[in-house]
Amino acid sequence: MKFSLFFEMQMADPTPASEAQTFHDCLEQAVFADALGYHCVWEVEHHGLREYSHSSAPEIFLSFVAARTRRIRLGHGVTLLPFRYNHPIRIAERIATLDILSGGRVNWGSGKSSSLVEQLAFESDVATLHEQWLEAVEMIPRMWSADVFTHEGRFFRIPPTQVIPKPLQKPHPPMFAACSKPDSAAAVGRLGLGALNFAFGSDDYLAQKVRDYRAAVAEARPAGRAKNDHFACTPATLVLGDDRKACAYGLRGARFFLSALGQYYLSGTRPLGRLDVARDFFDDAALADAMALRNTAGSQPATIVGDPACARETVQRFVEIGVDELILVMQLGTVPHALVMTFAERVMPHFG
Amino acid sequence: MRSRARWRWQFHDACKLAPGLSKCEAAPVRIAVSGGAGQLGSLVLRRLVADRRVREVVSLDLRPPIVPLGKLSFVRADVREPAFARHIKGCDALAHLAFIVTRHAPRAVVDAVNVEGSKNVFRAAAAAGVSRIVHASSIAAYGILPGHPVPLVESAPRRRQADFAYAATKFDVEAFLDDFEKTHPEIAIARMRPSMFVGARMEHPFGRMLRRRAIVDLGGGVPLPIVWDEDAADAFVLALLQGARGAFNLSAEEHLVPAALARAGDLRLVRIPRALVLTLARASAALARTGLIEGTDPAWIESAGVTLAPSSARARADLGWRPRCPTAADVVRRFVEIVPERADPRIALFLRLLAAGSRDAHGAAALRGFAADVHLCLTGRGGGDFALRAKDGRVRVARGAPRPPTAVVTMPATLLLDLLAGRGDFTTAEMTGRVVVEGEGLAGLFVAGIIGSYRAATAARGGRGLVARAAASWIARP
Repeated sequence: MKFSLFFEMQMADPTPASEAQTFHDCLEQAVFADALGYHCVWEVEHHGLREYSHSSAPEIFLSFVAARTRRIRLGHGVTLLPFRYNHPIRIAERIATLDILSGGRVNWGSGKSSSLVEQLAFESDVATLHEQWLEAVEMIPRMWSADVFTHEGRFFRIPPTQVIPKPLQKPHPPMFAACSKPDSAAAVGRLGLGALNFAFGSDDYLAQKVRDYRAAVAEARPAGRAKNDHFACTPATLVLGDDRKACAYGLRGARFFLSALGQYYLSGTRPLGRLDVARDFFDDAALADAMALRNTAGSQPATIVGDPACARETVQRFVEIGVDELILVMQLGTVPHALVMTFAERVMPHFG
Repeated sequence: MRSRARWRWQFHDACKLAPGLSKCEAAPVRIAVSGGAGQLGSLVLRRLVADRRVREVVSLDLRPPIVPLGKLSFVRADVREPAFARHIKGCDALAHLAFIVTRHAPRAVVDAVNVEGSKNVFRAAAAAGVSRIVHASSIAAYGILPGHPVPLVESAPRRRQADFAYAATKFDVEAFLDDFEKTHPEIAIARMRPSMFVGARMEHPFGRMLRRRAIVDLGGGVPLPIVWDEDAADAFVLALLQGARGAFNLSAEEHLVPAALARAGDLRLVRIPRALVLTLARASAALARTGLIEGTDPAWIESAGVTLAPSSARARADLGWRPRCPTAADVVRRFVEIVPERADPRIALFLRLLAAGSRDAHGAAALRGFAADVHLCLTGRGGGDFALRAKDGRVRVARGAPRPPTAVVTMPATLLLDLLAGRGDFTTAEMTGRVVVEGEGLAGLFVAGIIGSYRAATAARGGRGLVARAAASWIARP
């Protein structure tokens, strides 16, 4: 099992000062994670999802991390490919540049954008998001491999052009795609892309999703790019020596993550201003109920929250589900560095 | 804590059996369940799917299950098929639950399905190399006849009740098993002998009456032997995972006469002379023969005048069975607490608004690419089963559980009304176990999202907001 960190740049109470502080905190955590042996730092791209994610320019953050770290990989989880957000040539150029400067440490994930907030803000054609994504996914690796790139497609007509620079990793950085919609893991597998999935759903559902993905990716024969058969999940995580304290903070953080996500996805609304989500601590009875539910049969593995023993049990569930990498969402608002430490010292060593 | 715990759906409580369950050394990893679509089958499947040690479950039935597929698969199968063994190839355990229970059918069909079908299934299991069988027998296997010992223990002699097809066929299957056990000592066979199941999905007239909060008193003052169906399902799973052998009564204790049950659950007591009900039942059976209606075997009424007092001491001691409804009064109270009488009209309105709202551009865009068949299972007063089908940006709402669903979201109906009124928080409810999501990962977010967009609509300007606010003020009534 590989362990990585996920950054949304989430903040429950954004002010100019707290916003700036969050960016610096995340940077410090990434540097720390590098020292502790984490596999990768994954950074999202979202636009206007206030409180849920202030990470709108991940390429800037990741280049900053690249400069301050030596070993840890740098993941885009994910770059939005519909062309109103990013032109494919610009993506190819940026990823290649980061790959060169970081010494070949880039993982590149892509997606379509799920929130109405960003779709409407950028005037994306919602009906063709998937097709726009697909066309760009096939174009970008060809830009990296071809000396002269030419393209005639539905959304782009590009005359012979020398897209430069070329990435350091050959044939190109590993490619991933977001696949949290119900049937998209198999679709991502058929394209031979690595899978980036939320950790929601029962063990059984996730295990089936991994099986569907594995079956599809085994058959994939992508043309003009390398296959990636890696499945990663993003559980909300807080591990401390003190189980109750970890839960008081971690479950509150996980709830903020989930409810803020719910506000921006699948609801058909475009909330403005302070999100209508719960931010207070669970009361004693609710906390006791939530703690008692962890790792019971029928519970979801979506949160790795508690003491190291509890965390190891939940991680073991992901091992059995068949996941290759856990991208831990520790950046849930209140994030003392100690928690990164506790997980790395007392959970990671048990899973090689 | 105790009152909070009552909020939770039984499922999680059943899962707290886990310490007991984890004692068993080698849990079977691939399990076949005949009759997985039925009242008991649904509960057994749900438990097996939630048990992380179980790798694969196959439901063999004529209908798809109401439990999300995944490690659970569904094979349309009839217990009478000659080549039944192919369905259970590679399984190491079988729960045989398929049986004609209350439905009236010609005796030849009942015999063919219940007796010959069961024999067929057991032989197939032996041929497939199954090492554990749990068979759904019944207290009726003793014969619903006077003169049984009190308490009725598993070693009591069974008597064939020839004129009651259900009891006679349960007896015949056990008689077959007596021999089958001797020729197949390598197979651990458990015969579960439950009392009458009371639960959320009873598919017979007694159950339909109970849903309407009424219980029939046929006179005679005979206590009804009943058991909460989720408790029974726990015992089936315990027997399956432990590889138990022998017979196990499963019954609540302190059986009550209908009048006392009515008092315990605040139910209407409907006194009808037995002769009249019998006449009606015979008429229904006669009508069923014409194919116009699904009738009930009148023998159920004829047998309702006999006292049986089964003891479940063996299941408690040997299986570690801990029923959450230990007494008949607990069973009735539990029923009233979680089984809806009828859907609250406010919930029906909310779901109509949902279906209408998903037709607008924003609603459709938000749901684009999200396809799911969600079973919204609303328990308790005002609840019901609803199928929310999200596809192509639209949500269609229908009554009843989808078969199979991609996800099940279970919560008390009163909680949904509270959330719609802005009282409480969906995610907190989910994280504390008051909302239970099974299957598809985004189903919880989907339901949270439809509640959120409903709340947002009430803040909209113009005519749409006006209508939404008018509806909301009615829906939010305490």
